[in-house]
Amino acid sequence: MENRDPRTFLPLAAAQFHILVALSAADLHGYAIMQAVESSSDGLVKIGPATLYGTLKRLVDQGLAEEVTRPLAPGDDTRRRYYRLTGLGRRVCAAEADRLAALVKVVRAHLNPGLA
Amino acid sequence: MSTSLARRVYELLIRLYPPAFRREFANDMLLIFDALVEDRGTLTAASRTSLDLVVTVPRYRLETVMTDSRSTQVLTTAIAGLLVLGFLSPMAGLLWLGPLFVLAGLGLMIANRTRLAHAIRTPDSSARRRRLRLSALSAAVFAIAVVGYGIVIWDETASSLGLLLPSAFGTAALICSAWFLVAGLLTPRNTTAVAAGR
Repeated sequence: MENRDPRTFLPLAAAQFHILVALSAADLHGYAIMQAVESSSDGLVKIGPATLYGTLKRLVDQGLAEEVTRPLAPGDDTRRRYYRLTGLGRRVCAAEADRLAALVKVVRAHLNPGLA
Repeated sequence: MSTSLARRVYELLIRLYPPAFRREFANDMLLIFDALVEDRGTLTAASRTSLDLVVTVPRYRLETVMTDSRSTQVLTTAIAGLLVLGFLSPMAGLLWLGPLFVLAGLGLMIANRTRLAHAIRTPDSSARRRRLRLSALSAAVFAIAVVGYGIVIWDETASSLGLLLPSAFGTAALICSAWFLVAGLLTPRNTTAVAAGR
């Protein structure tokens, strides 16, 4: 699965991409992912618990993310499960970012033809 | 609403999710609810989780129903239902509806022929026996319905409902019998036959 072409996963659903972006920074637990998504979208995207875990399950099933056991830091809740990106997840996240960047370029060219 | 009541309500509402999802994530979702209450207050936690619930419960339920094996069951039932309706409609006086239902059933069957064929060719060796047994049982019900229809038709005081009931049961039983007979005969006797056929 790790060798699969990242482009076969594209385009990603918005929730999937936001979660991958959050996990690209660090291994996170569910609530931290929700906070990271909200913060990276300036509060525009708010994911609920069921959407989060439904999407995480899909990402794990597709091999883009995995559950991880990590050494407990002070203040960590032992009941919390942490997730991290796999190598494939990282490549898919980058491919989706490239796709969106190309799309943004097209939009800018259409809206500001003089600047293109 | 007090925090403990809101949490209890959310805990109860989580039961609306499919069992597998609930077993895996119910505790994590409650942890998030607690964290939301701590950070944003009960009202925000309740409104955010309620909205999420309204959107995701039907979606996850539907996804569970539409898994491969379940969707084949739904598909088979829909086809059988359309065919039965097709045969019953003319009896109920709706002559033009009958062919429409039959055509819709046949169209659905043809459009999904690969999935249906795959479902029939299950490696479960007991499936063949079960399907043939169901076919025989349906044939018996059909025979009883025919006898019932014969008795009713000779009774001059019989109502139209009295005629319709054996017709309905008879038609449904006939379709089931034919369906299970074909499915049973096409089902391989053992797993080797399935592997060889692929």
